[in-house]
Amino acid sequence: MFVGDASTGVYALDLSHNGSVLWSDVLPAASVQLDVADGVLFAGTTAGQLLALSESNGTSLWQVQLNGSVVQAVGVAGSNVLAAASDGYLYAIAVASGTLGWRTYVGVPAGGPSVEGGRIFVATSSGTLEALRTSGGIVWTSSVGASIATAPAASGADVLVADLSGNVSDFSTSNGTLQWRWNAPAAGVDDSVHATPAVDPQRVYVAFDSGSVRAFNRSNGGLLWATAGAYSGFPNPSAVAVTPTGVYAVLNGILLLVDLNPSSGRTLFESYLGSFVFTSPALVSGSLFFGAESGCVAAVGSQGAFARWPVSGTVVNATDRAPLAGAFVSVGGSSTASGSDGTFSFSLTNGTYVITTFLPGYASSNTSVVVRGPTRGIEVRLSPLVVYRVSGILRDQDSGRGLAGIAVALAGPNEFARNTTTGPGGFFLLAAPNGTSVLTTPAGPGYDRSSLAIVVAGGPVFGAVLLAPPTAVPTDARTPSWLYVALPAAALLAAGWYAGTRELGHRRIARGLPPAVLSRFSFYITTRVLLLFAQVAFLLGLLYAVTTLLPAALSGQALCDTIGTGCAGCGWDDLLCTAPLVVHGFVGELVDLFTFQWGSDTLGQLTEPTTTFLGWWLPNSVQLGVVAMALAVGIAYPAALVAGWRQGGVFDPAARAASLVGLLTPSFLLVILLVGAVVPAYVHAYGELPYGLLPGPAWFVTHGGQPSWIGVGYQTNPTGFPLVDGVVHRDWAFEQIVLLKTLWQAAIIALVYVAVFLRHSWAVAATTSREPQIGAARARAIPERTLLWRYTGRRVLPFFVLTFALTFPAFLLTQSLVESLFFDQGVGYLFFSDLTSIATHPKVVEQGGVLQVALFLLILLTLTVNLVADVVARYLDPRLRSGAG
Amino acid sequence: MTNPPEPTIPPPLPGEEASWEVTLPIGQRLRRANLPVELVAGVVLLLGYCALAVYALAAAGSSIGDLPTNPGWVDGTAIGPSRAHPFGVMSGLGVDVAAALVRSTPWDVAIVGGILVIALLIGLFVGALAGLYEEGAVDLFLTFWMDSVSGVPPVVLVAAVFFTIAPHIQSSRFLPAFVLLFGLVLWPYYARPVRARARLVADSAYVQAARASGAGRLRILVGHVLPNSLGPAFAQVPIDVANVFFVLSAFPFVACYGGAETPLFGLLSPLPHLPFPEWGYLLAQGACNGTSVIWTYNHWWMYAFPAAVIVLFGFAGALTCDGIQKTLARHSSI
Repeated sequence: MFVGDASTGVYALDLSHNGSVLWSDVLPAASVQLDVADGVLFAGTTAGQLLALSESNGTSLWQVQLNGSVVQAVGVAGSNVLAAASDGYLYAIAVASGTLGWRTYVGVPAGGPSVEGGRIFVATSSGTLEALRTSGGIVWTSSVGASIATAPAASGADVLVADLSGNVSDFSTSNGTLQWRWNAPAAGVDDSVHATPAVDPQRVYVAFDSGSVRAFNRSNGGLLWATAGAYSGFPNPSAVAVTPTGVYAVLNGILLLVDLNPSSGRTLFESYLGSFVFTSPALVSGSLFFGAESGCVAAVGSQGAFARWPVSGTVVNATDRAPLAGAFVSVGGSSTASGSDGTFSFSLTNGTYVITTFLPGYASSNTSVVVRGPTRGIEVRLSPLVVYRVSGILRDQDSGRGLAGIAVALAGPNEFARNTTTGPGGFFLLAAPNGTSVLTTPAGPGYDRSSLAIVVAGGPVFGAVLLAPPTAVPTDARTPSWLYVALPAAALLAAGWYAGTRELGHRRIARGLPPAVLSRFSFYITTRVLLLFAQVAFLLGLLYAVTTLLPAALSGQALCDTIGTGCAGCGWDDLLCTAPLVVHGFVGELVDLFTFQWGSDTLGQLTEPTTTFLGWWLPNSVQLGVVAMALAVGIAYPAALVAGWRQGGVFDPAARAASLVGLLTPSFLLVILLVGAVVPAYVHAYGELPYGLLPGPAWFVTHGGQPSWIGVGYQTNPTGFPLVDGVVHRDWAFEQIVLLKTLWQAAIIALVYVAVFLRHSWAVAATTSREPQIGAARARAIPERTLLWRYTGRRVLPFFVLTFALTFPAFLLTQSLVESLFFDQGVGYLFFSDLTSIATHPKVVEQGGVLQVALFLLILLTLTVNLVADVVARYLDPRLRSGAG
Repeated sequence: MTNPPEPTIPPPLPGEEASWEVTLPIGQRLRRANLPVELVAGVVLLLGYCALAVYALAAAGSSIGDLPTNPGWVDGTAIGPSRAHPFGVMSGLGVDVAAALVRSTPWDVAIVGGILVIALLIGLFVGALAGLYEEGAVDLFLTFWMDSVSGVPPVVLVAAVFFTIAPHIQSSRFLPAFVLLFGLVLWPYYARPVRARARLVADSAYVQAARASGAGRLRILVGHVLPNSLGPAFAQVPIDVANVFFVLSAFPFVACYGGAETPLFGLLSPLPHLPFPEWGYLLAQGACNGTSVIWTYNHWWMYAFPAAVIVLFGFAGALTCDGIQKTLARHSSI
């Protein structure tokens, strides 16, 4: 079979060998329409070429140029190949030589020609149906009274046309008289028809764009049945095809393949094709073929491949053939349990299956079965496991004393399980089959859990010794005890340092030196850096108190459960008991956070240490953030300056109003509308959805597979920045997609952020423009442009830096939101997905929880940015630097 | 430094002042006050919202907390704006958009108003106090608190705190708790600009004059510093209106949009029960049910009207605040 793609490729597939590509070729223009006859493949292109290719190897035989593009299909009638072209002519060209046999004007064709019984039928978009002789003369013309957008279906004495108003008309092939006509009840956009009707000897099937399939009596046009429409999805054509075994429909061009009962229209089977389908299915030698938008061709067999046959059997004991109830039986992804009489049943399509059966106490079995129709009476025989005695003693690990009255559980292979309780002296007796079994005792009063693995090898096991460790007093190894010394010592040192520098200052003044070694600016930086840690600790303490202690106190949980540093079992009213625990828990948390003990996190299928996640995805977020920030600054800085400068102009209120609207519209709505605007175009251009920062898996499938430098977390190597790594590996197709996605997402972030930034920065520019030195400069006849960009620009720059720091959290929030809505592999998505887990894990600040880490990083980052911005602003502005401001 | 002598004003004749006040019609008096156009427009809009709220309260009576849903519209085909439904119908939720928005008005006015009143009251007072006594205990506390709290976006802080304590309080107390918490998180954002301004005001001549004439601390704070320092705080109001509606709409949106993947997101709502008449919730449902990548199925009225009501409300607030700022700037001097 032959497939053309959306660009200029044509492929020949070998149907007898799983559709492998026999040959492929590139044509001179896009949109190939194909047909094949007598070993010759014809291809029509939008540029008006009609090409003849060898069916076996794709070599070009001849090529002719027509006046219009070839509209839909190419049909073969006798020794001529027919092409309906957009110039309104139907061309007949000799198959052997490529010379023009004849051409006839029929009007702009709605689809390809249809050939039946020595007649050629062409539907035109203006609503006429033309019947021609194979020699080119028009025999008759009929009109349906509505626009047509598809080829007619000619079969026997009938030629059927469905039009855009949803009417179905049946004309006689011999003279064009209308046999019957079915009028659409209420013509609407959804009820037009874009697909050629399918015909079998009794019925006519038409797929409407609403997703409804209707069947008509072929002899009188009576409506036999209709499937429910209103399938909301892409408004693309539905299509229907008849195979020897059934009627298949692709509804609304989307995903859904429906197997319909021809006489009732009842849905027999539904299948998602996994990709969009824009073209009608093709029927080749009894199989249906779909060209999917993913670039794949899917084949659906007609030999009962979709029929599900009842398959049933019985599970019996291999020794006495007694039926076994409750066995777990699984076949091809579905599973069941055998009934009380040992029976089980499945419904399966044709194929070879392995029935896996499993019952505790029996060896599991795999039974192979071939399904070619209803299959009954399968007998699955399970052999009982032979068990051997296992005996031993449970002892106290420290004293060696035997422990009576404690439960011992044995877990063997194949879920073999036995339980007992130790008798006097700690003795126990159990049974286990061959293989490795594990003996366990639960944690109980005074003793912790103990376990022992034993191996049974064809004989009894004696003298297994289980050692139960006595419960120790809970100790906490996590928090280093030196902290209790180090923290007060640090506080003392700081106080001493403060007093010392004061004293030193007095001495320096006495000697006529400046009071401090550090300049005022350096002193400012130093204190701010020291303060940063205090602020982080304070904020984390606040979060710890509100999100960990408060819920615990409200729900009356014991404190030990909440902090996990051991349990003293004291109530919340006993302050002397709880206070050390609270401090202990919080200090432990701080130590964990500052020493990168960040626990692990789960996102989708991945469970990794949090540091691993950050290592993978931090570069992605940084890359997106940097691009977005560059865009935002590029827009916001001049916009705020100009708006603040020219108050009363048009630009100022417009910019302020726009920023207000942007600010007040919740950003997710802006983001989702902006995303929605590009999805269809992007899907068409690149064949994948515009989510993520990297191309999706579907894209890699069609571009030579996922390269080895992209890892399990979808992280790129060696640098981790996808834009850089694409260049390093010279993968320009990859680079193009990443660049496009990054720019697009960055633009959305920038758009939302600029609104926030403008709101803050406008006033600064406005105030500065009224300052006396600007007036003075203006009086000296300095050009306005210079005043704006050099004088005012330089003056407001420090304030813009401060504004940036003030709005930085809003920027991070916006980026996180965009990352989440785009499902980016980024820290923001990770953060948001963990924020959503609050509902499942009521403790936000949870030991090792990634949300805690994310909040910590967020706090650290924002405070650092604030600090840097303050320092930079002071540095930029001499008045602030000298401490005057 | 000597204080300039106070200009002597002759005492008014008996009845003069009173008659002036009474005889001038209110329209002329307003005109003479020469209020900024933003203030007038903003106040008129806000009064419109309040009138709508009062109407909704009167019309709905005891069912003010229930959305007027119609089961027939839940799965029905999209009904766009028409004479019968001026803002269309929101399928999924099954409500007439206009009716639902009106029903929501008193709730949203109360939520936003409550949050802003709490934040403004605390913020103005603490800010003025901190600015008046520079580097005093209140100032140090405020500076440190503000610098620290600004490390987390207020939206994240409110979400994290509220949704951890929510399981432990009765759902009927959700809204008051949410309003209180939001106000408590937001007040430093009002205190900081007030503090910066109050530092300048505290050094001004009239405050020194008041101090010299023996005015008490409270009188200086309330009578002189506070009224002259409020202005800059009002710039923050629209930003916080946006913050409030972000929390109210973003979480229900993700709950609806994510469907089965984010079932627990439905819990992340400060509303006492769902569905509930509240603009943010309506916007979330509209954005969830109305947006589509296919233009035919993009039922814009479901999200555009709730968004417009929110934006207009914020706009009214912004205009009022800009107007107040302008008026205060006109009457104050440092």
